[in-house]
Amino acid sequence: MARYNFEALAVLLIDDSPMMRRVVNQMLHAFGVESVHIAADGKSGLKMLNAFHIDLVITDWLMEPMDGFDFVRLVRTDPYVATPMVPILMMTAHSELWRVAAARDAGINEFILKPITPANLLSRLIYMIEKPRPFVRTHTYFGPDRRRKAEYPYFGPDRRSGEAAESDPSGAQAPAEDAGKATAVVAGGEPAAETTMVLQ
Amino acid sequence: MPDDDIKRTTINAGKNWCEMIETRNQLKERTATPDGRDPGEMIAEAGDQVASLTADFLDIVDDGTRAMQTLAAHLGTSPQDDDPLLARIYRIAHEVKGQGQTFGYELISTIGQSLCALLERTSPGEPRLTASIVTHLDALALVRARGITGDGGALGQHLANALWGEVEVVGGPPATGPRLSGGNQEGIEMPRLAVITPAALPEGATPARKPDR
Repeated sequence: MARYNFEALAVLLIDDSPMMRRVVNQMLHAFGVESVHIAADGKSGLKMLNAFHIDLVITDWLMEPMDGFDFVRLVRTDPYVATPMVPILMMTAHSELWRVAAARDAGINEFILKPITPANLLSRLIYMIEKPRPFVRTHTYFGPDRRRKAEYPYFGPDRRSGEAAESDPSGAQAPAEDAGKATAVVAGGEPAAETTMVLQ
Repeated sequence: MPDDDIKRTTINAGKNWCEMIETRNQLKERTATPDGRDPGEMIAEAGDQVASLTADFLDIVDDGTRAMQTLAAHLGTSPQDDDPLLARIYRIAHEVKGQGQTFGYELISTIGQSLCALLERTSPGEPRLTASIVTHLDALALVRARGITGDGGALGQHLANALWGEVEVVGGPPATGPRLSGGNQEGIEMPRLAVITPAALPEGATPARKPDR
């Protein structure tokens, strides 16, 4: 099983809910992350992103005055943002397909549905570490390649035997319900003209 | 990131122009080490950390329920002010929905989800909306008063179905795009049962369980 040391990781956490910030911050610290920068909305998050070295962003969607969707869009497209390719994990309680597609098209790397649990948060983090997506720039889009299917590691109790080694970089595999949601995140695909690309 | 660490490949030209940009996997370079920690250990430690916040979460639910009850009491007094009141109720319900299951209170999340769906799907001015909001808030207060944890078992399922029945009756069809400050919920089609009032829920709580890990 793969092992990880998150001590050197600098995370920017953006959420307008003080309780959610505490929950996710506690989880990250328990995982070993020592540097967690915290912002209460997208606008503050942008300032922090330009002010600090950030390896990974975790952002909520529904915030005021600037929500997570606009934050992601600006990170990917605003020329004044220093790190347009920073990995972004969006967390939200909204799981509607149109929202997932909108977040994907704004340029998120991965999507995590609330409720956030230690297992599903760590699963997404490890997935982002082990399966980074190349970036794509077209006339209408800049962000992670939107086509690859996700296979998230799974830490739950109902793992079926014999399949773990293939799909899980950490030695576990994705649960069926999570896998379905994850597929919805990335299954939209680029325009037909781009689908001839071979990435890996 | 230095340009040497970025590989750019142009795939197509013209209107189908596309550039593929590949970079070093800096996340992996920083985190994946043989002397690192086992993910299972990290999850166990994080679960303990989350569990230590449970009392604070329940305070938020109780305060939020009272706040939503106060807001709901003002609905209809001057209809032009209803939209901001409903938006504030929605934000609180959304927070409850998003956090309950993290702490092992699935039924609280379910009620919050149902209330969010009600607010998203109901047309402004619908005369039954306030009563339906109050029913949801009564259910939330009841779950807390009786210390019901987890999904509430069969009783919780019955309550959830009844509330979803309210959403189906009072609310319109699920939205397919932005409306209010959210859209439709997960498109869950739950069976519509006869609506019960929270007061009809018998005494009893499901065994407490640890937060999901």
